[in-house]
Amino acid sequence: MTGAALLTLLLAVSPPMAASDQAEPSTKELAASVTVFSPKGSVTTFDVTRSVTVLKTEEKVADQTVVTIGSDVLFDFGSATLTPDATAQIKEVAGRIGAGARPVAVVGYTDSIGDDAANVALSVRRAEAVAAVLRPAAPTGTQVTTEGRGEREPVAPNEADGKDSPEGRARNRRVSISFTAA
Amino acid sequence: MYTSKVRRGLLVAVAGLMVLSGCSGGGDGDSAADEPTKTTTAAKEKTGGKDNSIKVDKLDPNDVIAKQTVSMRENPQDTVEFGLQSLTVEGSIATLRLVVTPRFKSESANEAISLNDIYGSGKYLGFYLLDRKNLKRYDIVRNGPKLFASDDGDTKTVNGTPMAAYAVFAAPQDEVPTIDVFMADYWPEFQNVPVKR
Repeated sequence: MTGAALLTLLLAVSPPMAASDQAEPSTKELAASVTVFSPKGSVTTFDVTRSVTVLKTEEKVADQTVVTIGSDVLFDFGSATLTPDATAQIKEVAGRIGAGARPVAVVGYTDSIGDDAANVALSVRRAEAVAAVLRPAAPTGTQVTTEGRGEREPVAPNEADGKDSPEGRARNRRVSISFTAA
Repeated sequence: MYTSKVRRGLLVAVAGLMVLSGCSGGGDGDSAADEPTKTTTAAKEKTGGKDNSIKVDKLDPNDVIAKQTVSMRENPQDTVEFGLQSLTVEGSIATLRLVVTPRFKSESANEAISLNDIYGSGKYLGFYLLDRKNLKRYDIVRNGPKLFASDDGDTKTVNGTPMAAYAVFAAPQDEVPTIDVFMADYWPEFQNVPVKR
């Protein structure tokens, strides 16, 4: 802004009287002119650690080892075709199966998106896809059973705060492999 | 009318402001055009080898490291172009920056399209990172329903015009150099996206 323009602006917005000519504002007027702001409540703290989901977990149930792998790393969305990374993960599990042990159970699950019957069918196909890699890699004679439970038995809410929960659904899309370890 | 006392005071004030703002007082050219040189010089000071200069995020749909156009599931003739600007780690977080251009044939040319219109009412933004090697999924950092990301309702643009969007994740672990970036489960991912550290 040029000096001339600045002077014009100041003259335009200045009161036509000197400050000393104005009446003193009352205490009430002064108090009403002050707005007090509080920073309380304006800061949202985020916990980054809770936003990371490990897509392969393992637990012991009696004498069985249960390895659960998220479908996100096993399959493309809505598909039962294994990704290259998935094959390596399944073979790693196969190498830990004890010879002559109890049958290995492969169970597929989906999230709640889509029709229930379609989800069951998808979970069956996914369990079978995993079993197809597991069988030749497991000890000779190992029996492998497959089952698809669709969206039943979720391990996380598919919705949170009244909205769809992508991370919850991601945890629910999974395949579990139960076996007796060598 | 102004008293002579007030006029004198104003002139002194104007003179002071002119000195502070660097105005020459002559001509009608915008002296601000000369200012960036000074500002840029001052802003380019570096600390510890890191460029701490103030920057303005660019919004050029072509200045991206990758882009893809996807069709909306409900109306396949409606498309959205996602341009991926960067995935940058800063401390414990990683910020994904995008240029999003909705082109909805089902809407008029001057219609406002929000991220919520792209993802659907009652749904969260679908961005996430997937590390298939280390079997980890990174969702947008949140506190209850509040996502650390562009507001899906307020982030809107005129149909066919790019808009900036961002989402914050936990910094990828395991020192991975690249990671896969999803816009939603049902759209193809950006694979091997560099993680800038």
